[in-house]
Amino acid sequence: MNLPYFMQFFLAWISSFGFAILFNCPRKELFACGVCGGFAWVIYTFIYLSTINEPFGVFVGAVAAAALSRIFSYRHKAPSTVFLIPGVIPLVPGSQMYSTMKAVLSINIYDTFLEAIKALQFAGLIALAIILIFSLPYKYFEVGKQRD
Amino acid sequence: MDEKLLLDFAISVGEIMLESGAETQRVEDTMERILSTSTYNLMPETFVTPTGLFAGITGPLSGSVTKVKRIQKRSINLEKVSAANELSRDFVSGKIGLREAFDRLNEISLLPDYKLHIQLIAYTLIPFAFTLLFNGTIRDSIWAASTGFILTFVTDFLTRNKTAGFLKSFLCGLSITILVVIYYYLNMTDNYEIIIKGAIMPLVPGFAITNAARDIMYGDYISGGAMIIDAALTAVFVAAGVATGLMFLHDMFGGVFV
Repeated sequence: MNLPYFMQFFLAWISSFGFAILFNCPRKELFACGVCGGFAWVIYTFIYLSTINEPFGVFVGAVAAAALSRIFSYRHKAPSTVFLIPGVIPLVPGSQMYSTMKAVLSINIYDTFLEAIKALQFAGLIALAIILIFSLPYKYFEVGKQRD
Repeated sequence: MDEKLLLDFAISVGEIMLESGAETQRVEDTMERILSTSTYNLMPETFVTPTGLFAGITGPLSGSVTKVKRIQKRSINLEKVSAANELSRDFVSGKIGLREAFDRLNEISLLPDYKLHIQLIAYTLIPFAFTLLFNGTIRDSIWAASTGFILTFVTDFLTRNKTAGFLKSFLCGLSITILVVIYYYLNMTDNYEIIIKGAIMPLVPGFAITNAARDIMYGDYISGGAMIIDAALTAVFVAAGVATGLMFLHDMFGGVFV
């Protein structure tokens, strides 16, 4: 998070690109999958660092990933799942999962609950952001030219 | 057009989509659209759960017909979802006939996963990128990448030996932790927590969380609930693997870890 934003974008792009390969996304969509993940992470970091409100950052990052995946879905004529799943992956609370387990092992009850609730909160916020964006009508996301 | 053949086609498309990880709503919608292309009003009804799908029609020639298909294995392949989606769109718009559609469906079902060496690149890049994003040093991220490299072969071995899903998550978490702590013990890395956080990212249940959200949003509570349970259990098992590794090494090397 201390890296410059373009570097963070690039790294998040790499990670989402990797996940797109693991989920067997079509070869021609891999680049766009990475772009969803890159924007999700950069927006999350930007909001987190400027408002010191991590859950809000996760929510806005997931909103960005979901909106981008719907735009790409329109432009590339592919199901939005293809872009959405690799796109939100950088925000999934993997590090909170580890911290919870660490706190359990060192019998630190306070940290256990704190980290577990954080992990649940982030997962819930990602779900909420996806539900919010996918409830909007299709026409809002018809941006740009459609690939033929 | 033969209604029973149409029903067979709809079920086969639904089967491929559900096996490859499409969300419930998309599968139901696709099957219903395919069944609505008949010249008669077949009154199609579809019902999809994570472990099986049902479709029923009532036609003047066939009478009431219902077909059930049980889904045994699920493996995520979004290329198949994408291709099946395109096929159903071409079929519904009348671009291709039923015979050609069956041929294309057969091709889709044979679409391969990415080759192991490409998966190897993906598994190596993911921990590398995440360790840097979680404020690790370059040294850390290179060693994290090496855990991803080894994880590829662990995953491949476990998949080929048909290990049950949760045991796989557990063993993957365990092997990563043992590697990372050994690196740390040999003074090859600066942190071990950041590397573990980065290295377990390929195992997190991101797919289940995303699909659970979409299923619940469309009111498919059975699939959504199942996906939530799947996500929670995967997370717990990965974390349990990490914990087992840490405890084991705590006993071996003394109280540095935990």
